[in-house]
Amino acid sequence: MLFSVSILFPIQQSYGHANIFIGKLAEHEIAGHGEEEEVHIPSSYLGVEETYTVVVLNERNISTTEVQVIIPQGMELISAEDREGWKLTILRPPLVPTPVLIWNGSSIPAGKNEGFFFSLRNSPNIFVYYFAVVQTYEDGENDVWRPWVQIISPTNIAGIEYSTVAFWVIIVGVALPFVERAGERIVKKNRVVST
Amino acid sequence: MPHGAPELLTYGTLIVFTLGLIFHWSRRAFRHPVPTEPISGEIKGNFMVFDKVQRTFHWATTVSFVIVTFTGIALYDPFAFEPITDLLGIPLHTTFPTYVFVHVVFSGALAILLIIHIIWDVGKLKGTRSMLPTKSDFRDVIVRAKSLLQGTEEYPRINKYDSFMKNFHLYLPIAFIVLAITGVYQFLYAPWWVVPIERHFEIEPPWRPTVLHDLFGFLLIALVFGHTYFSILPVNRSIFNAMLSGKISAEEIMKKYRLQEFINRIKKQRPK
Repeated sequence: MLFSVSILFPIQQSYGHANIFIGKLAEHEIAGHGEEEEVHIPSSYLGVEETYTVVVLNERNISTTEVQVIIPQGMELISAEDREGWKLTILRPPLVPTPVLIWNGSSIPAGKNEGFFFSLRNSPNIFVYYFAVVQTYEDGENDVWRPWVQIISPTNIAGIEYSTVAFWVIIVGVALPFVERAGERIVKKNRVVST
Repeated sequence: MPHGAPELLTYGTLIVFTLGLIFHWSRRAFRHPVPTEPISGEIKGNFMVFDKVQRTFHWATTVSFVIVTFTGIALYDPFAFEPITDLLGIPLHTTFPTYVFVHVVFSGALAILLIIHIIWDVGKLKGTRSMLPTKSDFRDVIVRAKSLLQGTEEYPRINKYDSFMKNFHLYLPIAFIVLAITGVYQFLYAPWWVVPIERHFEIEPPWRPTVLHDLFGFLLIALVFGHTYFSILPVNRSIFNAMLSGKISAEEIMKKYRLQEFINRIKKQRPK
């Protein structure tokens, strides 16, 4: 099964009780619901092959010329996509502790964004995994970001959430005795009527 | 909750238990097994089976349990709980500490109720014996299982508390101890509801109190659903009414209970 998970970068995570601001331009990602804010939590299931998208937003007035993505320990790199105009270099162990993807040869203009795609096999362990993303600008300066994804156990079967199945099974289970009671009353009433 | 018990286990427990109840209903709703064990005498009048303290304890525990479950599931799986909070017009994601507060307060209420229950039923009424297993309990389980699964005619009379009720009662203190320890630990040392979600795993100790709390909690919820199902079955209407009024009639007792043991146990509580 392949899913597509976007690690929006810079990312704003909003849970209502803790806000993590990596880039202020990510504010537009939050949809307001009165007092409640919509929660974006990048998640994926354990052990599956997943396509990740790292969207790099250029917040400065000069171009971004290189993007490096360092894959977290425990995740297995399957493949990475070339981007038109960009040159992709993949560094693998033992050269580096964990795989590093480097896109350069092109640029992200000021205020624009670009998406970079790669496939990983998720870790078999439930945990939070941090990527490191290094954004290099044309003046040689770097910004380093640490977006994360939580690896969780599956929450659905055939697309139906376990909680939904449990809810409806319980409704049926608890309703049956009431159905039986109602049936008995109807039977008693009919007996009274017929006598 | 990403760092809690897997949803397959928690919701799976509820689903499996409830499917068992649905199977039970399908097997007996149209058969209505009647005790084949002969009755050993005759009694008349009404008998007090649950006094005011016991009834108050039961219904206060019910209310507290419902609130603890409501807040607990909201904390465990807020995304699945959203439709309910949207329907009720109450906030969820922005108010986790409030849900925790209510959960803790009513858990404390359950603890106090439990203490009152122990003082009253064990200390005053000396009712421990009624919850201990007896030889007849094991025989009854086998006969009733045969009746349910194989459709045999033989069906026993029951004691005031049958084997299933005793096992349910046995699980309650076990669950309460585990839930109390894991709950208090989370509250004092691993309050995941006040840290960013990606740090939940960091503050959870290796013995995974959150997972234990979730598993025992959901098993308790499943058993309470079972208790609710059996209590509202038409055949148990008399005992349900007794939990409201305190009394059960001799006619109802003679339909399915073992007379002698029942009379011995409630002799002290006979009102008139």
